[in-house]
Amino acid sequence: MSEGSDSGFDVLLELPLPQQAPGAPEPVPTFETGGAIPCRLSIRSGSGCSQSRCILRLQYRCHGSGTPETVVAGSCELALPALGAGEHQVVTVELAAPAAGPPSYCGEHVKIDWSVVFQAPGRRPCETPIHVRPARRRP
Amino acid sequence: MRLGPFQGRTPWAFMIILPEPAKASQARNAPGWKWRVRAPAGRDKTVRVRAYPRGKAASLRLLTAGVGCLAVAGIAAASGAARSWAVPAGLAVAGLASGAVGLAGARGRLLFSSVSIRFEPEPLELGGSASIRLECESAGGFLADRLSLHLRCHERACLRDQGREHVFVKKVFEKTVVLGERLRVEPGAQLCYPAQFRLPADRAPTFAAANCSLEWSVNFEVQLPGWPAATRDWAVEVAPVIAA
Repeated sequence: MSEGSDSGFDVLLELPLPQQAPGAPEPVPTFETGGAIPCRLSIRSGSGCSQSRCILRLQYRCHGSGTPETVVAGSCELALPALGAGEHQVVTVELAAPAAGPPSYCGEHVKIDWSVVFQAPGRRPCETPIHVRPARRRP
Repeated sequence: MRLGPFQGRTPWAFMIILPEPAKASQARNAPGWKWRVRAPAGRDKTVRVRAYPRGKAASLRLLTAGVGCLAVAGIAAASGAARSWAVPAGLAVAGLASGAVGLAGARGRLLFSSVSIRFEPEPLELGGSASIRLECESAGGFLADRLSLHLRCHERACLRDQGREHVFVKKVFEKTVVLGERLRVEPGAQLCYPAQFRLPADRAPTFAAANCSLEWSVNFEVQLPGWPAATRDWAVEVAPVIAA
């Protein structure tokens, strides 16, 4: 779950969390390769905002000992409606994790980190880290 | 385009094969045509296996040194720079000897005229078992200390810094199956070795980006007494799927 705000509106990006035993460290949203990533965007207008086009991006970053690079695995363009002062709207979007992977990985020289990024014009991107694991073949 | 050697007995001749697109995994980040000197391991799985008495690189260095000595001797003789014929003649003799040893070493000794490999399933799956079938036809008879298959996974990262490239490689997984020890292989013998590997579920699948990759490979190794090991590699694709 991550938040972004500017003078126009506040955005809360919510992703389903895995069930975790009480007392365990904060869980990271976990998905499988080839699976769906349901995203829930909660938008709350402060002093009213005009209609705008935003982008929700699924990306992974390869880093470690090599030159870092970011690969966009999928994106979705959203047309956010104009909101009056104090108005609230929820948008649900489903991104798809590519079946060909790669899963999240942390090795000695190679690291792969996945994230979902919400980007609206004129504001900082709001990034939520996620974990992608290999899909389990059903018997 | 792809450069490849003739399949016949002329190892120094090269031909240009039709252009082929880059591997799908590479094409994702670096689309376009690639120059490849080695045959892609994915489809062309039949190879020859040669042993080199001092290693192929050492033999090629000797051959290069020989050619270099001959060239220097020729230039010295032609320009009259040397005060006597002894220097160019000595260089030429050393060059010829070094070149001959290097050429003989670089040709190597053909152990198997064809080695083909088959994987089941393809691509392999994490946590699952991989059946590998290796079929070899020996070229000349030889005594092998050990024949073995290795399943390996390497991390590879490339750091580009001010025009320089630093490559980091680390082996993150290896499993070995010994196919036979102290074997006498007869000339023209047809050998067939089935092998079974279990892939770990907690490792990463095959992956390639522009600057980093995770590479799985199967390596066939022939150990001969008194020779460096003769090896061949095949790239293996491991899917991002955990077997049922």
